Amino acid sequence: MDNRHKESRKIASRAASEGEGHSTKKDIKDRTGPTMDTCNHKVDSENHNCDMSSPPSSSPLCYASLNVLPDEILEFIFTYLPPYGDLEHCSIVCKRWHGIVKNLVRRSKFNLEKGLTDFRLRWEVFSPQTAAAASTSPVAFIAGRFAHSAVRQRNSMYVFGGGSTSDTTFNDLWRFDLTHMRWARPVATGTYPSPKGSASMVAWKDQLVLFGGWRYPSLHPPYQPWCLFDELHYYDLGKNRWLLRNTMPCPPPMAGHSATVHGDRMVVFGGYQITDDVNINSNDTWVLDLPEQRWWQPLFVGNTRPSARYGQIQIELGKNHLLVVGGCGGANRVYTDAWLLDMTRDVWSWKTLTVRNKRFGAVHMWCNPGCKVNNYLVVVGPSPNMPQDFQMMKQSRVPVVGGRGPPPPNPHQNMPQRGQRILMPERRLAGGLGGGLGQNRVNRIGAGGGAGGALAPQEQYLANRRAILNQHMQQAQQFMHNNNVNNNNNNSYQPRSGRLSDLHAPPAPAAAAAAPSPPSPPVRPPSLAAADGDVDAAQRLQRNLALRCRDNEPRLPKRFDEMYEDPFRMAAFNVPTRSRSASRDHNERIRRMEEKMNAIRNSRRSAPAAAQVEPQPLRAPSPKRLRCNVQSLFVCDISGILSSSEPALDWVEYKNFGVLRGAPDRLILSSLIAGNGELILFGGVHKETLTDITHHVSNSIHFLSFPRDII
Amino acid sequence: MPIIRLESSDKEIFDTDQETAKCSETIKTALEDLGDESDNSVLPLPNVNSLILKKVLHWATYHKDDAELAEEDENKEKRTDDISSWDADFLKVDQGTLFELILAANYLNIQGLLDVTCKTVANMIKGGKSPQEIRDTFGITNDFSPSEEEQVRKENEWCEDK
Repeated sequence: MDNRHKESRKIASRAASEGEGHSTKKDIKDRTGPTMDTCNHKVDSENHNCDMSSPPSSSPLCYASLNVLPDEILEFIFTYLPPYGDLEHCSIVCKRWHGIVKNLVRRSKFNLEKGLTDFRLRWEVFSPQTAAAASTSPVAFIAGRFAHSAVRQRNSMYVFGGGSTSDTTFNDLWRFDLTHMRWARPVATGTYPSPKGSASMVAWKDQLVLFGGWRYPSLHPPYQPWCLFDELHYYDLGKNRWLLRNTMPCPPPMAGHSATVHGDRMVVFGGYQITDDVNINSNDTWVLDLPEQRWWQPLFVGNTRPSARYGQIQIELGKNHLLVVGGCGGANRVYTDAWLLDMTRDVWSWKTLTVRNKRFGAVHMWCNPGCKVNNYLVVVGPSPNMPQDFQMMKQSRVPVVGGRGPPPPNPHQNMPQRGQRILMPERRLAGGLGGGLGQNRVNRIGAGGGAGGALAPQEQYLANRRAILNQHMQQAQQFMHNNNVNNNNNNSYQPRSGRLSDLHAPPAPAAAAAAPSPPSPPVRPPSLAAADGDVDAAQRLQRNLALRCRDNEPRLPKRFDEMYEDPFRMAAFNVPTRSRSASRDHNERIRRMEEKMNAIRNSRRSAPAAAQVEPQPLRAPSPKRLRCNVQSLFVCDISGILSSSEPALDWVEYKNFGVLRGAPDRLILSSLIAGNGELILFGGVHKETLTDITHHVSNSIHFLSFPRDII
Repeated sequence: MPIIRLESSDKEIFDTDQETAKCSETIKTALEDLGDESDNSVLPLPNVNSLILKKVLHWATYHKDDAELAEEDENKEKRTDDISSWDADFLKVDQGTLFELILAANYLNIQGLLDVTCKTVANMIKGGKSPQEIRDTFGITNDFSPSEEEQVRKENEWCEDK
C-alpha cells in the first residue's frame, strides 16, 4: 500500500503545485457515453490508476480513457502540440481540458519571459528539409528572402515581398500556417503591389496594410536609380484581395520606415525617403486613419524628435504610446537610443528615454529585427563579441549601392586580360549593373581561376577570405567615391520616386535630370579622388589584384556561408562609406589588412600544391568557432516605461553572449514576430554575400522557445 | 548482472536485469534503498499490471543502451513526428493500453517512454482536428453548454493579462 500512497501523494503534490487555474471539476457528472468513458477527476484522486476502482458502468477489464491521465500528464501531452489551432481546439473539448490548456498557456508565457531574462531558451529550425521530411508529398515552400515584411494574424504568419537571392524583389504574399506548420500561397486577386522590400506591413482587423518599400532598378535601360514607393495597399484576408489606395495627401515614397497600429490608426515613422528630389532619412511621423484610408500628420509639442533614421524598431506600447529604438541615420550613424511617443493628447510629444546597461544591448538595430514580448523588447542580432563590421551596410541597406554601384574607380584593372568587358568609367549613375557585375566577375573568376592545390579546408577558407577581402577593398574604393559624390548632393544617386504610374515611364525625365549632373567626378581617376590617401589605397588595390591573379586559387563555391569567425577581423574592412576624416583611418586599416594578406599569401605559397581540389563545404574549424557566427539574443526590459516618471530601458545582462542552443546563422534583415510562447524568426541574408551576384538568403524559420520541462 | 524481481499488481513476477530495470528512476531509487538485499527480494509494483509491465520491460530492454538524450543538439528541428519506427510499432496498441503505458511510465518515471507515448497521443490530437473530432477520437463528452462554448471560442488566452 505504501507505494500507492506515495504515488498519489506524488501526483497530488504535483497537482497542487500546478497553482491557480487548476480546475477541480468535482462537479463533472458522468454522462451517458461510450462505455470507456471518463472517471471523474479529482485533485487528490486515487483513481488515477485504472487498475483500482472501476468506473461505474464499465466492464472489469477497465479500458482506460484519456481522461484518466492526471492533469500534468495531459498538460505534458499538450506541450507537444503546436500552441496554435490545435491547442485552441483542445481548449473547447471539455471543461477539464479547458482548464488544463489555460494552465499551459499561462505557464508557457511565464516560461518564455523567464527564459528571456535567464537566457534559457533554445532555437529550433523549420527548414525545407524539415518540411520535406515531415510529409510524403512535395510541399510548397517559400523562396528565401530578406528585408521582407512579416506579420502575424491569428494562427498564421504572413510574409510579403523582400529581396531575393538575385537582385530582384518579390511581391508575393505567403502564409505560414502555424497550426499545421506549412507554407501556403494564397491565391490573391486585385491590384498587386509592386515587387519591393522593406515595406511596412501591419495587421488590422481582418486586413493587412502594406506601405512603402524599395526595389532594385530595372536592368533595362541600364544604370537606373533604385525606386522607393509610396504605394498603400490593403489586403483583405477574407476575400484574398489586394486593394490599392491612392490618397492625397500622401507621405513621400519611403523604405525602411516603421509602423505600428494603435486602435484604428497606423503610425508610421522615419524611413529613407525622397523629398524634392533629395534622398534623405526622415524623422517625420505620418498617421493613416485605417478605416477612412486617409493620411494626416500630427502636431508635436516642442522640437525634440528622434534624429532622422531608417531601419528602427518600433513597438506598440498601448493605444497611445509607441517606442522607437535604434535605427540608422546614414554612414557611421547607428543609433542605440530610445524614444517614446506620447499620443494621448491632440498634440503629440516625443520623449527621449535613458538606456541603461548599454553594454548588454544590441547594436545595429537597424538591420536586425526586434519585437515585443509582454514586458520585454527582444532583438536578435550578431553576437556581441563579433567584430562590428557593419560599416558596409550603410548605403546598401537600400541595396543597389551595395555592390551595384558605379564601375570600379580604377580603370586600369586587368579585366581585359580575362576577357571581361571594359566598363565605362563615365557612367556613374547609380544602379550601374555593369559596374557591379563586372566587378564581381572579376572577383569570382580571380578567386576561382586555376586549379588550386589540394588545399586543406583551412587554407581554402583563407583563400576565400582573401577573395572577400579583395572584393571589399574594391567596394571600399568605390564607396569612398560614392560618398564623395553624395556629399556633394549629386543626383547620380537619386532614387526615383516610385509612383506606380511612373514605373514604366521612360526614364528620360530622371535621366535627363541626372544627366547634366553626373559631374566630373565619375570620370576622374582615383588618384584625383578628393580624399588624400586614396591614391595609396588605389595603388595598393591595383597591386593586390595583380598579385592575386597569379595565385593558384582554388575554385570557390559560388556561395559560401560564413560560418567562422574571421581570424583577420575584417572589421573595418567592409565597404565603408566614409566621410573624409575617416578615410585616413581607413587607409591605415587597408595597410594593415594588406600586411596580413601578404602573410597569408606567404604561408599559402609554402603549402604544397597538388592536384584538383573539389569545392569542399567550408566547415573546417572547431565547433567552438562555429558557434560564434550565430545570432544572439538581446533582451531589454521595457516595463518601466509607461509607469514611471523617469522612463528607461534596461538591457538585461546576457549569458554566454546571448548565444543559445541551436542558434541560427548570422543574418541580417530577417523578420522577428512573437508567436504563442515563442518567437519566430524568418528569412534574412548573409550580409557578406550581398556583394555577390547571388546572395545567400535563408528561407528557414527559426523558433525560439523554452525547452520542454521534464516532468 | 544481478537479476531484479518485479511483482506486478496481479502478483506476477518478472525477472529482469538491473540495467534494464534502471531505466525506471523509481525502481532505481528503490533498489538503492534496498541496498544489499536487492538480490533476493521482490519489488512490488502495485500500480502496474502484468500486461503493461511486460510491455514496459520490453521497451526498456530495447532502449536500455540508448545514449543519454542529446540535449546539445545544434539545429534541432521543430517537429513532433520524429518517433523511431520501432517505437511507432511498439505503440501500435489500443488507446487503453497506450494510456496505461503512460501511467506506468509516469509512475515508474521512465522519461524516454513517457516522451514517446505522449508524443504519440499528441500526434493523435493534432492535425487540425476539430474539437468534435478530438472528442470522438478519445471518447470524451462535451460538458460545455452552447453559450459557454461560444464564450470559450472567443477567448484568446495568449492575449489576456497583457
